[in-house]
Amino acid sequence: MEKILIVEDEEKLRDELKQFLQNNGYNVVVLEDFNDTISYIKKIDVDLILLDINIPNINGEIVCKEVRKEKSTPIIMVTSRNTEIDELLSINYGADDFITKPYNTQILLARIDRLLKRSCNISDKVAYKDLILDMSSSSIKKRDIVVPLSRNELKIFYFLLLNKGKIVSRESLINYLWDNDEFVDDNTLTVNINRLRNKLFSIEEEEVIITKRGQGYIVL
Amino acid sequence: MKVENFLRDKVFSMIIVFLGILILSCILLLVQLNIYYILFIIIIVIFLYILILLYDYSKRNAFYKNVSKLLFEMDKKYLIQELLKDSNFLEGNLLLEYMYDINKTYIEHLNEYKFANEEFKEYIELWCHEIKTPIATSKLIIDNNNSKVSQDILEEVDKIENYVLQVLYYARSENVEKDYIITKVHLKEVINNVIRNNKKDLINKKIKIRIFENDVIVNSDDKWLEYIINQIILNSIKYSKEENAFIEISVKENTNNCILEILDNGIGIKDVELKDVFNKGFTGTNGRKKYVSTGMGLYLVKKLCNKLGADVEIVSKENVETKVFIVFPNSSMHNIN
Repeated sequence: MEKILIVEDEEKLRDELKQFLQNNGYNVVVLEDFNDTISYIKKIDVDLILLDINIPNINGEIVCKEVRKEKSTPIIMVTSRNTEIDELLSINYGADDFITKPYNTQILLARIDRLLKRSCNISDKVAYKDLILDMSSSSIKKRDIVVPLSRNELKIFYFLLLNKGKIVSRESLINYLWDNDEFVDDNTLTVNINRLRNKLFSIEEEEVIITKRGQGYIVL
Repeated sequence: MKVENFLRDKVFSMIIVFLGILILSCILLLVQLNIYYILFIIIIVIFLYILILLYDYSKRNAFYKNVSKLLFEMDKKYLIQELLKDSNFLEGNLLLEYMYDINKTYIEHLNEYKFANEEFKEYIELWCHEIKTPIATSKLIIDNNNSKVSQDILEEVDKIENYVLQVLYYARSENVEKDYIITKVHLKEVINNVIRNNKKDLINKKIKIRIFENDVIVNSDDKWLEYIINQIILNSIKYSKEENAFIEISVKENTNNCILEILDNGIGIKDVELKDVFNKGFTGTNGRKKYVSTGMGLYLVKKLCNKLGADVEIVSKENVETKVFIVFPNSSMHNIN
């Protein structure tokens, strides 16, 4: 489980953020004493740092710069100011990403996800039984047969595999697709699922996506 | 300065001179001076007096002519005192001195307002940033305690967030300083962000989205642009019809500009109201009928667009469609490499 450090002085926000990230499967450490922020961050071993710009005693940008000198831990700067200047400054000080309050919680998760994947080098291939879903070439491979997938089909199959063994409702599928810039409606989703099934069918994988009437889909 | 007016101004001194000549000639007659001498003296005195008047007139005339010419030409007339040189005569110099004093107090007075305004703007910005923390916290609390009620609250919190942003951008748009940085902006990315942020409403209202595929780059400020496009999309959602609603976003690249078109098949805008939609505080029949409208959304859209060097136009057929065009001129597309 990846470990995230939250550097945020607003206690309530910190606690909620901690709970939110824990709910989403992260291990969370928080910084409570802001007297020696830099050396604390330098000492602790985490996978990602969420750093607020406005913290007591010291400017977040300086913290970022100092930490960068010794560590390559991904840093996401959090601020309530949303001007380009702040963003440019943060990136200059070595932050990997920049997010403004009040953040959309899904976007925050997506950004964290992206950075963690980048730094941990998770492969872009997902295996399922004797199928391999290749994200980079947008295709399914079965031994030496390659079936190309459209963007929607790829994302749908990826999300179903990600939730293997769980029922995925149509709403959450649509939500996931929208979060990934595919703005599909209900009908399009049905069409895409059918196409995906047909493609799987063509390589003799008939019962991969199972429909749970009234609930959604499941990949076992 | 008219000669006539100048002479009228000098009437008193002319009477004195006339009386002086009269008294002088009486005395000279009494001492039995030759009448021709007396006439000669009188002519010399009058001649000298006219010389004095001419000299006076030319000096004043030159000065005031300059003043009125400058006043006519100048854009900021209150700065005239800075351009006037020494006048060569007492009243002129006195006038300059007084003008200087008056101007100084006036500018100080103006600065007081300027600073007060500046302070107010800074406070508004600060307030907007401060309030974002409780909003962020509320959203996290909602996410951590997911339920039907919390989702309803989330909708309201989203509205609050939008109103806060409106205040922030209003404060910025009224300001003469540049609060933005023009960079290369991928239009598609900005639009995707806006659509994603409005995902909930769009999915609930079953509004179909069609977006152009090509990667178009314009020179703009992505935060401002996102705010602008968000306002337009919010309107499209607000005034959408219940059945078969869609929003279609397309882009056209021309040689001298790039036009972003946002089309919706919503309830549209009345012909007579179209020309007013960008006015501050204007709420058309739609705004009053359906929702509480502040009349600020489109006003800000126009204002921010203009600040970014872009233009915005709306074409609409009532009950059929509304098209919003944002025109990014060529110069703002290519001035950064």
